[in-house]
Amino acid sequence: MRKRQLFWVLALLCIWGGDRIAWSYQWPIEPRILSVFAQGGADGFERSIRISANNTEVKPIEEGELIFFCSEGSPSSLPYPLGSFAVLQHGRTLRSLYAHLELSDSVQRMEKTNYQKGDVIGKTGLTGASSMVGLSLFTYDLEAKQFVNPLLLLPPVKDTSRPIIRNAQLEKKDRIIPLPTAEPVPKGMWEVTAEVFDLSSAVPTFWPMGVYKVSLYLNGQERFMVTMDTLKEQGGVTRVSPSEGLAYDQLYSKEGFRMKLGTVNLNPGVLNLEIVARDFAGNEKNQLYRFRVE
Amino acid sequence: MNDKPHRYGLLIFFMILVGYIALFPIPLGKELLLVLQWIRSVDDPISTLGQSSQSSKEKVTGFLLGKTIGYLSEAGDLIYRESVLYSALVTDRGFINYSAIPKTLVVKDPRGNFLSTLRIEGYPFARKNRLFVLLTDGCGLAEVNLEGEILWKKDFNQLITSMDAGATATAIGFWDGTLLLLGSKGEVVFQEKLSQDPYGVVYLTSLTKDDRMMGVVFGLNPQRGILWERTPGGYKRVRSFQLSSNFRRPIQGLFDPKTERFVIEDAEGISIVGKAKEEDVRVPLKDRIGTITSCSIDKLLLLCTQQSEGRKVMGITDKGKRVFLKSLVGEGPLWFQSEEGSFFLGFKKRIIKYRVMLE
Repeated sequence: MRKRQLFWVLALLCIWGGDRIAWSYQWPIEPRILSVFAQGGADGFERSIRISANNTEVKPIEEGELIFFCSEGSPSSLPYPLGSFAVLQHGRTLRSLYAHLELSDSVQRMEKTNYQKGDVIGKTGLTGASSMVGLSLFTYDLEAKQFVNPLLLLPPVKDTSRPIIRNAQLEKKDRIIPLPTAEPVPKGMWEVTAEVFDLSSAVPTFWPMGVYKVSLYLNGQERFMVTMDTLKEQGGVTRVSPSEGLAYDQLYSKEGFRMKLGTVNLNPGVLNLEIVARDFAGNEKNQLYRFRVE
Repeated sequence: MNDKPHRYGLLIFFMILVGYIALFPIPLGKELLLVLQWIRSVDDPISTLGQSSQSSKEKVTGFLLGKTIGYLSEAGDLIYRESVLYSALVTDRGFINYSAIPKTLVVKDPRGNFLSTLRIEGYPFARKNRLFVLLTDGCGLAEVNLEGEILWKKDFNQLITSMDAGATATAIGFWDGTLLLLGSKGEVVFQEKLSQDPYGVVYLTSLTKDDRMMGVVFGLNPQRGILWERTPGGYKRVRSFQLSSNFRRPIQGLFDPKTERFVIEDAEGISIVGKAKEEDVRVPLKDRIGTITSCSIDKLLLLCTQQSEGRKVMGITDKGKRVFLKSLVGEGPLWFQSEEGSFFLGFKKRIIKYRVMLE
């Protein structure tokens, strides 16, 4: 009997402790996510996640030191589209940036430099290039010199809706074949593209945002895979890594959420082309296209 | 007994002498005069004069005061006025009035006529007659011109924390303590990691007008600075120094065009740093520094400072002597700009032009 009690105490301690170790970072505000890391942005990859919240206190993801802040309209500052923002350094490697804020007095007057998890950096605002009151959160690994997907660090978000895959097509320089197709497809090299997105539950309207992982399979063999883990500069170009090291133009078409899923060599026969998309909560969507190649 | 009045007299004389020295320190050699040129209200009617093509070549001055942008002729006539959408870039050759989320930037001339369109997302700004656009997440920069051309555009994948431009070079400081110097086409001509410390943010970057000198302020505890000079073999460090400040925001600063010393907003005022330590001058100021600008008058730097009850415009000589110029009581947007021998002051919906003279 005593052994059984000890087992349950140890099990509970493990669950409690494990949870604390795994999720030592906290959400700065309630996570009502509008856009995600590495989705197609205004002029390249989004380096942040955008969270919607009205006039809400913003707290650090972890204890950290204030190393940089900027007030919108300050004469000494560059005109940042990030509006008013603050940057905290956590330990030696991790850095977090909170943008589009109304900065707190303690930040603006530099009354304190060390911010605990319960301290307030500011309130969610509409400063800079922001269409909706909220917060943009960036996380950066100083050692690896890369932006990190904040969802990799923060506690999981409840989300039950599956991503959407639509309007897939095979593209060549002078021809586009929408999928599915009943017509035979000429053999050769074809680029596969599709609109791949997730829907935000933060707003009641249709609000598409990016997904976490996209794969392409040809007859069961993986031909393309990308995960939105980090954004790193390689050879003067920002690439989503570690998966493929793809530059923005290699992954996204200018048109909405259309993604380029690689080029495949189609040989004669009946082929199965499958696109798989997964969001960060693990919800997965598979879309299978079966067609004849001649 | 008879000596007492004589001794008191001597004491009073010395007190008066000390008081005089304190109140009227060593003179500049010349007297500084502020001559009022004109005063205009930004709500004045638009002048119908100067609509002809002949006068369109007349020298004009653009201003941005609160939510109003406009242009004034040399005589002080208001020739154009427009309400600011979100913010605006105003140069003497044209302006960009942009919204908070601009998809394109529309360039207009000083009379509000369309000049060009820039297809770029970000906020425009000017450094020494060169125009730039800071891209949406602050990690990229582009150089543009009023003709609507994007001369170069770069994504650095890390936050730009400071920048300045010279004749052709562009110096950029980043949040990881890296300094980058770009050439006229955006190519990297010089790069240095100033600090391995995680607190090594570059808070100030400055270049001289001819790209010859470059200066930065970076790091915390202590905040440090470095000066470089261009040599035939590239940029070479000529001075490293330490500051008493510990700012965690962008710092104001510039190179004094006459003496080529680095003028920096410090914790207790202004630090003027030269290539040699002997050239250094510290100017203590109680008020917070709003704007620092240079004035082409006998090595005079102009400052606009801010305190709780209002603002002050003051000059600083190359020897570090303070010269009080003007007091502005009250709060509200301010526009402050100097040009050859004069400065403009916009405050409480009025624009005033002063000529600064040393006689």
